[in-house]
Amino acid sequence: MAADATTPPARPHALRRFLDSDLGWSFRRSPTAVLGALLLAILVISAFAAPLFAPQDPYDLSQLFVDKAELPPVWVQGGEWPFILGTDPQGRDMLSAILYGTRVSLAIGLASVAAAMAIGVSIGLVAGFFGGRTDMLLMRFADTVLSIPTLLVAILVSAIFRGLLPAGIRDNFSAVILIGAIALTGWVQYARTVRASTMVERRREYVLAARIIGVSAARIMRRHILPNTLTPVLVAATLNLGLAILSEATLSFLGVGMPVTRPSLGTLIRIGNQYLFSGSWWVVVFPALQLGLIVLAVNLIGDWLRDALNPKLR
Amino acid sequence: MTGPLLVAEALVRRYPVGRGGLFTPAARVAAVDGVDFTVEPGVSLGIVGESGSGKSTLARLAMALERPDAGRILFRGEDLNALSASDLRRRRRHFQMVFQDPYGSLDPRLTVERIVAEPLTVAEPGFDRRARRERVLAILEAVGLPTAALHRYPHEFSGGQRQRVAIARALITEPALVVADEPVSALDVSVQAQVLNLLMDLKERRGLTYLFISHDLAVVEHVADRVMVMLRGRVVESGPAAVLFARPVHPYTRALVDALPDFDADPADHAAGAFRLGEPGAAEAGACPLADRCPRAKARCRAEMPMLRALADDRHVACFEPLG
Repeated sequence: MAADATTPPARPHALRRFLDSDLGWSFRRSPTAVLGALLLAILVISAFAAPLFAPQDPYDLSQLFVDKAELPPVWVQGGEWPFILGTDPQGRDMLSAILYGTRVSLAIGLASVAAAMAIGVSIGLVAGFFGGRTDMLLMRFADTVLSIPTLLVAILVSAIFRGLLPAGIRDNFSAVILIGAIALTGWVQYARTVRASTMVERRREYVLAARIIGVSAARIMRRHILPNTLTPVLVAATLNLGLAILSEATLSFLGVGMPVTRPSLGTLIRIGNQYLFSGSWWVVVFPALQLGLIVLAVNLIGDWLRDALNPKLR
Repeated sequence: MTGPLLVAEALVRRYPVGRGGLFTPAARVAAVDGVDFTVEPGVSLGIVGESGSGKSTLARLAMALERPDAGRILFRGEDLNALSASDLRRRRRHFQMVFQDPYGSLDPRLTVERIVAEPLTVAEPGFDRRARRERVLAILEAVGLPTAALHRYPHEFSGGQRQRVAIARALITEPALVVADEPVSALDVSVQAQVLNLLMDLKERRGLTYLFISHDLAVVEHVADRVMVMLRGRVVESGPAAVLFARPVHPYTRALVDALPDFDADPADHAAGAFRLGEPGAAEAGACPLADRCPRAKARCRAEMPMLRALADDRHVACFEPLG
């Protein structure tokens, strides 16, 4: 076939393609974006590779030493190697706990953003595409969700689910409950964003063309409208990842999140908070610092992405 | 297939103007106001009119994209708006449409192959991938696009080429009727001719019938066998293209024909002999839609709406004071 004559050259590596694209060009020119990406890469890699080099497995109770409890960081008098950032009152190495905790926080943040996106995008698509009564009903529902304080809903959701589950397995599901609670309060923004762009896209002629062909409504939404509305969703998702990680930390700090046995950064901060006035500042400061770094890195990338994908700022 | 391909019976489509009050419904204006026409197989119908005359609304009604407020639209004898949604979807492969804007009518995120193949995947889901590509390649060749177009995106093409992609998409299911709504008016004049020639060529080779909508008389003269002239949602004159262009009887048609440049005539003579309309004023209810700017208008024209009536040589006109 004639197509063989025009076979495109081998596709370059994905990273190379990204750096050569318009988006990649704007990325390279933005020092804050590069900084954010580097920071995030270091945080993510160190967190997910933690079992390879962390001094201790904080989930393994047999590795905890009560006689090493509440050690200060190594550079402070009384600090001991290898507990670089000191230990908490249970004798848990802070560095290991933070790395494992980052893993938990990132995973819950990503999963809850993905879940919120799935809910919000579906609702926004349906509301924007069908309009009229469907739209009104769904959007008033979204307004209602938005008018209740996020934290209150999240606490309510996790309290209800925790109450429903028997005590023995409750802790095993705390991550899922957290993801659900954050997603159920976070989808509204995606729904509104997608609804707005769907209402624009569905009047475009290519959607009309698809209807003339006889394409079903579901397929038009999925194949034609959805890909053309995803850009703002992507920006919102990136910016919301930081918020989701903070929500998780807040819920865990309030005691309705991750249990002490599998601490996230929020749980660590909660534990540390109790010892702040006894002088063990490191138990709270380092997890809090790590949390701040993650959110900063994510927001740097999110801000850049929002500007880079905004045609008005090009 | 015997019998007409497409029949419009007393079509009316009204749109709300403004929002209306809390207890009063919004005022409505008729974009299409009692239009009848018949498209016989192989006899392409051109619809001419100025912007706002209801041409595009008529196209949307003919494609069953909108429901008429009154009247019926019959494709091969079936009332499209009486069919169930799934039956209508199944019929759609037999009547397709080409849009005015070749930029907006192609999904920017799909390759040409996927755009052109989509009607096929909907109409005949069983097709295997290789056979589908063969069909796409065949139709791309028929509309004069290179094989290399297959994996490209719409933004990589010029307006004329995009319109060729849109035509390929409309033709891949081998429809009997193609509704073309201003298919060349967004294109450069030099490209217009190429696309028009392509449309004529396809009409001949594939036995297509067009419902061809344009504000450009010269374009319609080229493509259509019969012509219908619309003004403010109504048909003012219709008939065989050759007769209608040679001897228009409705003042509006005459003005349109005279506005065409005639390169054989002396420009001064042409301008002097041209039939001209006055400046448009306010449309009056119950009057001839042209009454406010027709130099031949009489008292009756301002008091009564002229109905379409048959003349000799197979044409219809809605005028109390026809020319000729």
